Formats: sequence, structure tokens, C-alpha cells
Amino acid sequence: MKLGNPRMRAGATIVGLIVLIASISLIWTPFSINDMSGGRLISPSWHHWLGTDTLGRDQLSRLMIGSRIAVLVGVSSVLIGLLVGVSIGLLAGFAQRRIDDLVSSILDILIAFPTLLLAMLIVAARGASRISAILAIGFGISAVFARLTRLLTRTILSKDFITAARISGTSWPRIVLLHIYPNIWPTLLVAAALQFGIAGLAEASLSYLGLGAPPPNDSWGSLLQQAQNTVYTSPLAAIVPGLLLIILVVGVNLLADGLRLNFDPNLRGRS
Amino acid sequence: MITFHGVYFSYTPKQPTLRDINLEIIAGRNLGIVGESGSGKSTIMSLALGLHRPLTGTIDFEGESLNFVNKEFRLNYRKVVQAVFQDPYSSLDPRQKVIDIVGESLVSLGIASGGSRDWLREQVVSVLHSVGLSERDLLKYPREFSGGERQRIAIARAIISRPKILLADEPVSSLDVTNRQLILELLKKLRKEFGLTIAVISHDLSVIASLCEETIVVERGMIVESGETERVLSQPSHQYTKKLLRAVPRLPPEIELLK
Amino acid sequence: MSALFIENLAIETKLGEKLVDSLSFELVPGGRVGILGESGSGKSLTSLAITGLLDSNLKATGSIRYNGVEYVSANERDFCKVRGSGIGIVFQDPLASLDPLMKIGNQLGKPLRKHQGLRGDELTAAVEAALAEVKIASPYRTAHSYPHEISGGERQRVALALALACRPKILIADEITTSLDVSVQAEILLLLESIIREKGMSLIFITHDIAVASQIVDDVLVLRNGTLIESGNLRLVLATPKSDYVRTLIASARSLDQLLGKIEQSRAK
Repeated sequence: MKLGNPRMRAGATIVGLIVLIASISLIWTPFSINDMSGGRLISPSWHHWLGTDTLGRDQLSRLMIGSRIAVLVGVSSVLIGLLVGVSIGLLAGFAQRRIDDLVSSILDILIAFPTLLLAMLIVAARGASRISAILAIGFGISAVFARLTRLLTRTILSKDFITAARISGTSWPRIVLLHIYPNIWPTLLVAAALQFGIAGLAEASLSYLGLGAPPPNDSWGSLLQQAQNTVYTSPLAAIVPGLLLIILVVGVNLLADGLRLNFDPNLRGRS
Repeated sequence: MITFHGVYFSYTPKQPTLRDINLEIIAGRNLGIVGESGSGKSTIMSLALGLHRPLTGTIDFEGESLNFVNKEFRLNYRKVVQAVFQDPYSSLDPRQKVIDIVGESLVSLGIASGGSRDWLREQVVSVLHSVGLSERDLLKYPREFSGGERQRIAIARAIISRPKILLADEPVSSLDVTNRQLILELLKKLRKEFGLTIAVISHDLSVIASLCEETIVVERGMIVESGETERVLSQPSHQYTKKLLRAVPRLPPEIELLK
Repeated sequence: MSALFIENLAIETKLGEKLVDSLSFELVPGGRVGILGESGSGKSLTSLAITGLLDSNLKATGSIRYNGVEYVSANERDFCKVRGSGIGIVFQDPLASLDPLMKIGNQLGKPLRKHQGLRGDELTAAVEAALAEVKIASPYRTAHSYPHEISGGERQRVALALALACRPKILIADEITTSLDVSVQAEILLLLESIIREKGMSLIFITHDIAVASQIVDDVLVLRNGTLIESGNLRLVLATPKSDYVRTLIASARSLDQLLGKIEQSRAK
């Protein structure tokens, strides 16, 4: 496994930096988020590298905490998506025609269902919180993984080497472990990387609409929303969170692309 | 050894794939199953391998009806009856090394559980030599081999459990002309060395003619002719067999060319 | 003036790897040339180069002269003039060459409408005539079917009809019978023979099967790994092969005959 190509390295660097910042924020930020001593809407200065917000809180600290949320939501919703989605996908991949048709139709409906609408439903039931957002996004992602896993599984099951394994006396559980899993995890990994970025964006949208967790633990999305009112006087407050979101998504896409280039057996070609 | 009695099978209720199939694979006499696409010839192989169950009729192995629910039967059958498939590019798991591909049946059938990893390795190396490959190929991946070599790996995988019957579905159709000859020769050699009986499924009459003593001709799910290969090909009695023989493109006879 | 004149054709990848090297041949009007080779020999690439359909990361050098005009580095617009009315091409997999979402009649109607300016009832009649020309059993039914609703042999006939729609002078047939059953193959070859003869077309027939080639071509080019290893009149090559490779091809094609011959001999005893 080569730590191959430039795209993968670039993507990994960007994502890695963001994760690093997020981790650091757990133990230290320049100022506490509850510290409102900074003075209202000060421009970037030596004290406050990115200025302060309307309540005098340090922007940099808020952004660092925001990164933590982006990573947290990204990782947890992707994990939920993987666990739930891959299981359903595997079952659908093995299922008989009719059950498979049924499951596929349900998945298609779920995928077509807007994540935001789903989020609103969950929020209405549980109240706005980080967990509601994670659940909503996780559900949406699991449908995507389920459909992907189902397709991959079916494709592999149609190959002769699966028949050969059955002829060799290999039991179905072992076939899944030895033959199916190794052939699907690279694609799932790439998909996970992509979904991580999408989850981050989804969370930002939810927060922007006020469906995410309330302040002071603000994600980049809610920071964007709050910066709306002061965009002319303090443009930096609006630009930076958006910029960071873009960087995160670009980084994740580069990483996913690089991973795909590294792992995709088709691209390696035949001898 | 393997007998089909009045087997009837279909994938969908509307269209029967196989109707009233009666055939016998006799020890020591290679059987050729000739047919075009849609004839059901590959389905015969799937049924013989126990991948599907006939809707009516029975399939017997050495007098006993096939019973894959019975673990003992299953383990024994899988050891004794093996298969090689048509497409060398999809019959090997691209993510497995050669040693794991070839040794899989020994592991899954419990034959290797007594021995060590070294013993398994020895077995794989020995069978790789038999098919004309070497020890250096053990840790390589399928993508590092050509079509002909992959087919050899597939054959090695099939014979490692010392089966008595080898079912081969279009074993050389996907190969280029040089490899075709080599693989056919290899199959003949292994037949002698390992005491194998081979059942070959093919649309190519020359393949059947060179490997099999007995032949059955399948058209749209029914056997239209069967008998000794020599007789079937030189004095075909059924219209369809005659049609197949006529349709094979032939080079102009040598005598004509010398003019 | 020859219909098609190829000189020192070479096809390279961007990295300089030569997929076809120094290929030269001439196709006279009414002539039939077979390009014989296995997969990877460069045979299909040659036909793609002639019709300007090479992948963008491949480059053709040398000379491709059609009707006296040099085409090897022509642009897409120039090639469009050649394709269809000059050179028609039929590929191996009819399922891939036909649009799965369009009825056969509509697909065939497109080139007919464009090149012959037909409309309405005239167009419908022309479509059915085109299908009848390739010996489709029921032109009306086929015209109203989708590609997956008809058999492989019928699809290949439709693909042939499509290639002939603009009345090309040269037909390139790239492994057109390879995916077909042997009995269907025989029918398609007969059809091809009659159409070529009737219309006085030239033919480039690409195949890996020397016996199939011998049914229909006069001259042959044997390609291996991108290089021409033997060429000339087919019967001459069969009678006096110069390379081991061609000898193997011939032996393989004769194997059924030989085995049947042996059977005859042992029976005679």
C-alpha cells in the first residue's frame, strides 16, 4: 500500500490539520468561549487574531470549537451510516429478487428524501440538539451506503470466484469475510471520505437554519448564520467560517479521490 | 459416477431451462456437453455442482442422491467434484494471493486443519508445479498473470483436493490460440497423472473432440443426441448436430491450396 | 486509384508506447482484406485509426489515404465526411452499438433521414427496406422493438443495416461474429458476402479466427503485438505459412478436421 499520490497527501494534510485543530480545541483555546471581555466586534488584532463577535467572544476560539463539531458530526454520522447502511446493503445484496426489490425501493425513497426535511422531523420530535443533527444526517448517509453496498455485493456475488469458493466448501460467512469484505472496503472507504465532507456541510446547513445545537457550542454553520447581521461591519466573521467549510470539503474530496486512485483495482489494470 | 435421471429445471416459471435430462458421467470416460448459448449446458454444470436443485428428477452421485444438507456428504462431494470456469478474469479473487486462492478448498474442507501452514504451502507448490507454474508465484496477485496463466491457477485450485471429477465450463474459450493448445494439453496430462474424469462444456466441437470420449448435444434444454464422440461427430444422426457440424467454419482443404 | 492506402501506420500512447507499428496495406475497390490477430494485437485500433475514432490519448502517425486524400491527422470535421458515406463500421457487440432506449426503427431512421432526406411514410418504408436487405425476418416487428427484445443475430443484422444506411464504399467489420453462436455466425457471413458482392463494396474484416476469415477475404494481414508478421493472399499464406504463430493458427483451425480424419481412418480399418 503506497502512500501514493499527491491528491491523497494533500487531502490527508488538510483533513489532518482540521482534525488536529479540533483535537487541540478540546484542551485549549486562546480564550474561553464564555469569555466576553473582548469588546464588541473588534477587528483582527494581536490579542484576538480573528477579531471578536457581537458579544465580545474571541472568533478564533469559536472557530476552533466549530472545527471540533464539524469533525465530531462528520465522524459519528458516517459511522452510523456505515454500520446501519452496510448491514442493510449486505442483506439486500444476498436477498431474493422480491425482497431485494422492496429494500431497493425503500432505499431510493430514503435517498430522495431531503436530509433537511428529515432533520426537521427529528428535531420536532427530540428538540434541536447535536444528537438530532447526527441522527438525521446519519440516516441519510446510511441509505447511500446501503445502496452502494448492495450494488457492490451483488456485483461480486455474480463473479465466478464466488462460485469457486462455494465449490471449495467455503461457508457463506467465510465467503463474506474472505471474498466480499476485502473487495468492497476500498470503495466504501472512499465513499466514507466523501460522505464525511457532505455530513459537515449538512450540519452547517442545519445549524444555519437553527436546527443544530444552540450556542455557545457553535458550529461553523451557526457562526455563518450569526455573522449575517454584521456582514458589512465585520466581513471576516462571515467569510472565515464559510472558507473553512470549503477547505474541509475540498480536502475531503482530494482525500477520497486519492484513496480511490490508490485502491481501485480497475485502475491498476491487467498485466 | 454422476447420473442425471429425468432432470427438469428452470430459472423462471415461464421458461424451462432444462427438460428431461438423462446423462451419466462414467469414471474414466470424459464427457463433452455441446450446445450453443441458451441451450442450458452451463445449467447442467450448476446442477451437477449442487448450486441449484432440479425441480423434478434426481441427480445421483455413486448411487446416492445429492444431499447438501448432510455435512458429511457435502464435504466429501466438494472434495471429489471440482470445477473450472470460463473467464479467467473473474474466476480468481483479485484481492487474494495465489497461495490462498489455490489452497482455499483444503482449508474450507478441513483437510488442512491437521497440518501446519507449511504443509499447506507444500501442497500448493506441488500442484502449481503440476500446472506449469512455480513457487515464485505463491505470493503474487491474479493481476500479475496473463489469461492463460490465470486459467492454470484456476486448474491448480480445482485439483488440489485430488478430485475424481472435474467439470470444465468453456475452459479455453476466452484464451488466445497459443494458450488454448497448452491448456488442452495440460488437461490431458492431468487426467492421466491424477486419474481425473473430465466433463467439458463447450460450444467448440474441436475442444470436445480432442478431450472427450463421450458426447451429448444439447439444444434448448433437451439432449438431442448422445454417444461416443467419434460416432456423434463423424456420423451425426440428429438434424441439430448436423447443423452444428456444417456451421463450423473450415479452412479450404490442403489439396485445394496446393493448386 | 485505390480506395484505401495505409502506409507505415503507427499508433502510440502519450507515453510513447507503440501499440501498432509500421503497418502498410492497400485496399483496392471491391477488395477484401482480413486483419487477423488476437486481443492486444492492435487489429481493432487499426480500424479505429482509419475512421478517426481513436481514444484521445492515442496518436496515429504514418499515412492513411482515402480517395487520394491524407487523413492520418485529420480533424473531427473531416472524418465526419468520411464516416458513414465513405467508410461504415460494424463492431463486435451489438448490444453496445445500439441505443438500448431507442426503438430499432428510430435508430435506423436517423442516418436515413439525414443522408437521404426522407420523411414520414417514405422514411418508414426505407427503414423496413433496410431491415429486409439484411434479411430480418419481420421488418415491421423489428422496427418497433428495442434492442434487447431481439436476438443477438438480429441485433448484428441491424448493426449492419445501420452501417450500410449511408451507402459506404468501404465496410469495416470488427469481430462481428465473435459473440454469436456458430450457426448464426454462418448466416451472418453469408449475408455479408452477398451484400458486399451486390454493392461492389470493399471489405476490411477483422477477426481472431483464421477459418472465419477464410470464408470471406482474399488477402490477409496477420498482426501480433502490434506488428505485421505475415501478409498476402490468404490461400498463399495458408499453403506456405512463414511464421510459427501462423502455423499454430492453421493447426488449431484444422484440428477438428484432423480429428475427424483420424476417426475416418480408424473406422476404415
